[in-house]
Amino acid sequence: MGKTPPNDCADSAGAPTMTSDEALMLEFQGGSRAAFEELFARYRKPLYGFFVRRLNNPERAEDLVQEAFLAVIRAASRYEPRALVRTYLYGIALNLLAAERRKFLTSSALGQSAPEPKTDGTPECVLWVQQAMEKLDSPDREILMLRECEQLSYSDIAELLRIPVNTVRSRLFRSRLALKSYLESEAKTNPALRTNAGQPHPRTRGMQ
Amino acid sequence: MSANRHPIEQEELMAYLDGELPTHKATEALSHLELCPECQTLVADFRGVSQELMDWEVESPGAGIPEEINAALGERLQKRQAASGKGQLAEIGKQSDDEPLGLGRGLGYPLRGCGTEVNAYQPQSE
Repeated sequence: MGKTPPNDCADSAGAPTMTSDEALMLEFQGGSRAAFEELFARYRKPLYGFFVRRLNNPERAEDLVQEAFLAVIRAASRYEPRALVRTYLYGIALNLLAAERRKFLTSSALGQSAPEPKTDGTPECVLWVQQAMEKLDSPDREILMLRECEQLSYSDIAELLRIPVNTVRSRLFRSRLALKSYLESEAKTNPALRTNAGQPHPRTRGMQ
Repeated sequence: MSANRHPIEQEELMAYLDGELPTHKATEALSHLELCPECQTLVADFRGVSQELMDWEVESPGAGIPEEINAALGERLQKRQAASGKGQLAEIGKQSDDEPLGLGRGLGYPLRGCGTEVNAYQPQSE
């Protein structure tokens, strides 16, 4: 946990020697195509992961990533480096996600069926985590995902969702305990599935 | 977990793992953790949950910048160049087609970075 280097579930970009995202954004604002391309390279995959984990639809996730970057291009002139670019991008992503969900709700109300989540080829352990996540309350799930998958800080999450930092912390605590409980009970009913919850994971053993 | 035996709350322990505690509290958490098997178990549980989520990998998106983005980018940079040539930099943001997709029009996120404050994102109950 903590601020860890990016991995697949936490692939925010940036290394100490690289130009900061905020500097790149300002360069882009000043007319640099290369700066935009660098930002695109840094955040395409994290944003894609953001959408695909929440919508389970790779094609739609690609579309929404594109929409997010188009929004960045159109809003570039008004960007001020008061917020981290990362937080700014996830804010756009959350808005697009909310709009997408509203669209599905409207479609459902009109009797049209929303596309089925695509689970073909999804590893069983991932399906298992997805199912456990679905049992969490929606706001708690979002906070947990922003923390664990997007690796946002408590204050970043608080800023994005406009809730107090203490609320982020208490909901995160609650959702982690709930997820652990779901995963453990699932592991009991289906022993073939491995679990990291409730026992030290091989990668973290000895870290205490 | 009694407050007497555990000088640090469970939530604080979690915050410690997340790197979200101030230094003095983090030191306190670490000292306690070294001596408390119960809290070590809780920490292992939290790490297990994190590991489950970190294992949730997704495939990579397609390579290259999509054509639509390239076109929008070219248009944007051209406009900026033209405005710059005319000394109209300050006017760029006022162009009607400069409005981002729904941003500042109530999609929800407080775009302070854009100098626009609108409603907060609200996760929807499902």
